[in-house]
Amino acid sequence: MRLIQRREDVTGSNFQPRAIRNLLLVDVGQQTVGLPAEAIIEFTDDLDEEVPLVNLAEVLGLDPRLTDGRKARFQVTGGVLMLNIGSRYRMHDILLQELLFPPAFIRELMTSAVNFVFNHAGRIALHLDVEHLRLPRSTG
Amino acid sequence: MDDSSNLSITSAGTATRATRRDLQTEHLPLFGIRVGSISLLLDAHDVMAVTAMEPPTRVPGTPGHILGLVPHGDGALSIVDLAAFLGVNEGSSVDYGDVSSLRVVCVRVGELEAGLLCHQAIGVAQIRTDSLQSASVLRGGRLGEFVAFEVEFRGARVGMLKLKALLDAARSVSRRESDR
Repeated sequence: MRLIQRREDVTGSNFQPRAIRNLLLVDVGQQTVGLPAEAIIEFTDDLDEEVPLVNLAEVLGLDPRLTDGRKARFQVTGGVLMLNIGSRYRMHDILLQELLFPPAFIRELMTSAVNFVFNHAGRIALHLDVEHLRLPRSTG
Repeated sequence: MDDSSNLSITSAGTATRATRRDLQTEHLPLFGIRVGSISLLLDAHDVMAVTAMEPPTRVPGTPGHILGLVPHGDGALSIVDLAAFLGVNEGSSVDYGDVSSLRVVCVRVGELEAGLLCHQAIGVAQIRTDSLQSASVLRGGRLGEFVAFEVEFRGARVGMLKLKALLDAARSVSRRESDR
């Protein structure tokens, strides 16, 4: 299971003892989303008709115009995903104490879409699985 | 009759006094909420807190009645739009432009915690058990599935919710829609 249930679950080469390094944080309206920076190939303003394009705000059920503009190309299993992320993004480290336990109420649902939940500037933020974001478009 | 006639002796040997009325009728502590024009009751023991509504963090793949997550204690609380889930009040109770008047009633049943979005948290009332009636009037939307009892309360017909069944159903819908 990808979802982090406990702080002790944060292990592996991409994780440091006290922090999760170099996340791409994207502001989508009032909400902040984390994405895996290690999967980023490049940022671009150009479209590529051969690469699936997913709008990040649309994934969250928000107004797609919130992330119009800048795009990021991500390496995903078996190909490339292009994600509309808009212009409000930055790199950031997350301290382990900012990680939150996922609520049991929707824990099962979140395992497929969300890697972990964390507290950012007093609000709940989600670290999303870019592999999952590709699925709705690729499977029709 | 003198109340002293109901004096009883506990196993520890201490005397307790109960009035005749207490022996005849039990009272349930119930928590009242209002969703649109409908008033509902919850077992007050399941209610942890009442908070103001703040913009939730949306979670991809969840249905419309799961509005998202808000900070709560050391973790995150899922917000359920009761009006949307129950199909009353003609859809969602949320106008994101003005959420300040809305309330979130934080409930817990077993390990499940959720915040129920409503228009008003009325508070706790002691309801006589002999005033509870079988559910027969409140039938709009999905109310018939989740109203256990009805009672006349402050001049209106009010339904007592089966909270565990409601939370389980809200999660089940979440899982089904996520599989699509």
